[in-house]
Amino acid sequence: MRASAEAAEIRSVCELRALKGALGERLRSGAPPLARRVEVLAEVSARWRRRRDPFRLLAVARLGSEAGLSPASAEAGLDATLVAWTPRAWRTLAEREVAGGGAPPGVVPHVLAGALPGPALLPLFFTLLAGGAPMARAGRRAPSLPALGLASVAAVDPELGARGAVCRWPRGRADLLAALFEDAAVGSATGGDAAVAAVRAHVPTGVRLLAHPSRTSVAAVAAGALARDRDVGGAARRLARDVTLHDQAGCLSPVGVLVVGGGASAAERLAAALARELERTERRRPRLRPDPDEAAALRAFHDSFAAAGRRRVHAGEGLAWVVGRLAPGERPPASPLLRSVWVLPVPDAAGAERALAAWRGRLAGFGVLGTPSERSALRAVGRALGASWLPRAGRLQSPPLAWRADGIRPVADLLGPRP
Amino acid sequence: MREGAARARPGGPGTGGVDRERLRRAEAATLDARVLAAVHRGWARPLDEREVDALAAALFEHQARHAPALRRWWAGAGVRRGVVRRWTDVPPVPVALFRRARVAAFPRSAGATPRFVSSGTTGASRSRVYLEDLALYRAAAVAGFARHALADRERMRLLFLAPSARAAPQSSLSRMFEFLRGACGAPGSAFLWRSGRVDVRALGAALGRARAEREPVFLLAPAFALVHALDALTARGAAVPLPAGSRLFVTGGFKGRSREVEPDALARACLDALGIGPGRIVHEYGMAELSSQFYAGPDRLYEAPPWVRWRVLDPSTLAPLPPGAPGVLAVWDLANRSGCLALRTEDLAVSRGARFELLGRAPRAEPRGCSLEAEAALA
Repeated sequence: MRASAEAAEIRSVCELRALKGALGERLRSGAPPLARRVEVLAEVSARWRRRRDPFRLLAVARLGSEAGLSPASAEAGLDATLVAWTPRAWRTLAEREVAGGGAPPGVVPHVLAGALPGPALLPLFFTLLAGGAPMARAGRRAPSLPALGLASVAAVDPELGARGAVCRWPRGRADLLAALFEDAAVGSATGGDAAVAAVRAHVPTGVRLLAHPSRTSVAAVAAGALARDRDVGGAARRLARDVTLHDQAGCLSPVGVLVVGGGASAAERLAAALARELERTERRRPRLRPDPDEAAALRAFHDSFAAAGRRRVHAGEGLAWVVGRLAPGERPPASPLLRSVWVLPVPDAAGAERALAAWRGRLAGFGVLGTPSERSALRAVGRALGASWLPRAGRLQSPPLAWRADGIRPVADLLGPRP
Repeated sequence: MREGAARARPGGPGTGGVDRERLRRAEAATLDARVLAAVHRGWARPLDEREVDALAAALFEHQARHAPALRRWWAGAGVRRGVVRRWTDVPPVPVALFRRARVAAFPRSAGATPRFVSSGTTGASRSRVYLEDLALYRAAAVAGFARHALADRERMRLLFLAPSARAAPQSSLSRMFEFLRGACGAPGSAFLWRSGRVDVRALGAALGRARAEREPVFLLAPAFALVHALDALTARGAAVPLPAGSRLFVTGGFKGRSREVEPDALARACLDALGIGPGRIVHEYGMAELSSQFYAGPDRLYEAPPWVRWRVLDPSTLAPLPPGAPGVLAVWDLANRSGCLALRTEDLAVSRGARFELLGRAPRAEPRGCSLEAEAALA
C-alpha cells in the first residue's frame, strides 16, 4: 500500500475493513525506532515550512479549491501553524510522552474536521510518533490536506508513510463510522458538539475517544497595552493577525476582544484601530468568499451592532470583516466567524471573568496583552475559564506542538498501558 | 412650531405636542384608510406599480417623521424625507432594529407596550413589535387566508394547534389565529392547546367528532406543534383519515421545539395519519414584524399579496439578486403603517420569478472551523 495524495473514497464497510486490515498488516512488521520517527516527522515539518515544498504548494492550491481560502491566507495559516513544529519540539515531545513507555496504539481511527493544518495533520503525525497507524476520515471542507500530510511523510520515509491512511465517505454513513472505530483501543474526533456526540454514539464500548468538541477563543487587552496611540496600533495588529489567520475558522481564532480598564473610549479606539488593521489584512490576504448562509449570518451579526448605532460597527466592503463594539455590560453575541469580532469594555480582570462566565469550559485559547502584571492577572482569568493556551495576543494561532487541547496529552494519551 | 420644541415634548401636554399629535393621528387615519382600501381591493383589482410607489412614498414620509428609530436608520443609509419616489427607494430595515429600539410611528402615549414579541428564533433577544392598531393586521391576515386557504368557502371548522390570544397575548400567530377564527371559523372552531403544548386529547375528540359528523376541518399549526400532534395521535392510535375537504395550514419552523421533519416527510405523515394530501396543505410565512403573510401551495413557492413587494438581496452587498440566487429576503409591507414599511429579514430565500422559495433562517454561528465546524460525520 502506498500513501496517496488523495483521500480514498470509501463506499462499503468491506472496503473500510480491508483498508484497516492492510494497515494492521503493516503494523506487524514493527514500527521504525522512535528516534527515526522523530527524525522523519521533524524533516516533514521542515519541508512543509518551505514555501516551495511540493506538498505544501499542493496544499495551498487545495485549500483554495476545497476550502475557498485565498493563496495568501493559506500560506499565512501554514506559516503560523508550522512555526512551532521544530525538530527540537518533536524531540521534546517524544522524550516527554513516548520514551517513557506505553504500548503502541495499533490502528487509530480519527474523525477530522475543518481546513486547518494543525487539526488536519497532527492527529496523523502524533499517531505515527506513538508507533501506531492512523486511519482518518477527512473533514469535508478540505479532504486533501491530511492525505497530503501522509504522502509527505511517505516522501521522506515510505515505510512510515505507508502506516497510515486517509479516507472519506458521503454523509449519513453510520455503518462506516462504526466500522472505523471497531476493534480500536483509542481514537479521536474533532468537530462541532453535535458531530462529536454523533461519533461518540457510534464508538464501541471500550474504545477511548479523545474528543475535541466546539471550542473558541477570546483575547483580552489591558489598559497598559493601550497607553499610547502607537501601542493601540500594535495591539490591533496582533489581534488582526489572530483573527484573520485561517479566516477565523479555528478554535484558537478569537471571536472577541475584552478591553480591560480604560472604559468605553479605549474600546472605541481599539475597535477603530482593529478595523483599520483588518482592512489592511484584507488587501494583503483576502478572505474567502462566504456561502450565502454564512454571508447572511455575517449580515445579521453586523446588523445586531448597527441597530444600536452605526458608530458601534466597522465593516469592510461586502462585509469582508466586521468589528462590532458592545456597550459595557452587554452580552457578547455568537460569532459567524469569517473575520468578525466583537469588542467589549470591562472594568478589570474580575469583570473579564464575569463577562465570559457563560463560556467557562468552552474556551481553547485566551490571548493577552498588557504590562507583565496585567498579563499575569489576565492569564489567571483565562485559566479560571478553562483556556489551555494563554499566549500574548498575536501568537494564538501558533500553539506549541505539545499543547494539551482539552487537557489531552497529544501523544501519551494515544498509547496503551505499558507492556 | 420649532422642530426642536416638538422633539422636546413629543405628544406631551403642551399645545405644540397636542397639535402635533392631532396632525399625526389625522395623517395616520388617512394612510390607514388608503391601506385598507388596497387590502380590500385585494386580488380582484390589485394595486398597480404606480399605486404601490405612491403609497410606499407616503408611508415612508409618515414613518420617517414619526418613528425616530426609523428616521435615524434611514438617515444613516443616506435616505431622508422627500427623496422617496418608489418603494425600491426605501432601504429595508434589519429585524435587529426591533430587538434594540422601539420601532413605532406613534408616540408612547398611544402605545407604550409592544403588541407582539417574536418567538426568539435567533437566540435570546426577541423583537418587540409595536402597532398602533390591529385593524390593518387583521384585514391583511384575513384577506390572505381567504384567498389562499379558503377560496372555495366562507367558513370552516378551524382547529388551532396553538395557544389562543388570551393565553399568549404577545404572540402574533395567536392573534392572527384569533382573527381567522372570528372571520372564517365555523361553529366547533377551537384552540386545542394546554399547558404549553397541543391538547392531544381534545384534538383526538375534535377529530373524532368531525369524522362522526362528516364535517371537514381545517387544522392550523406551527410545524413543531404539528409534529407533536402527529406523533401523539399515532402513538394513541388516534390518527384517522379526516372527512373529505379537510385541510392543513402549516407555518414556521421547528426552533428546536420538536424533532425536525423534512417538508416532504411531514406531508407524507399528514397523508398517512390524517388523509390530508399535499394539495390540501397550505404553507404560510409570516413574522411578528410584518402585518401581511405569504402563502404557498404544494410547490412551496411563496406568493405575496398585492400590497406587498419583496426582493432577495445579496447579504454581503445588499444588492438585489437575480432569480435563482440565494440571499436574504427583504419585504416591503404596505400594511405596516404604524410599524416599519420595509424590513430585511434574516431568512434566506431564492427568487423563482414572481414567487420565492424559502430556504430558512441563516445560522448565527459556525461552519468551517476545526472546532466550530457544523460538519457531522453522520449528518
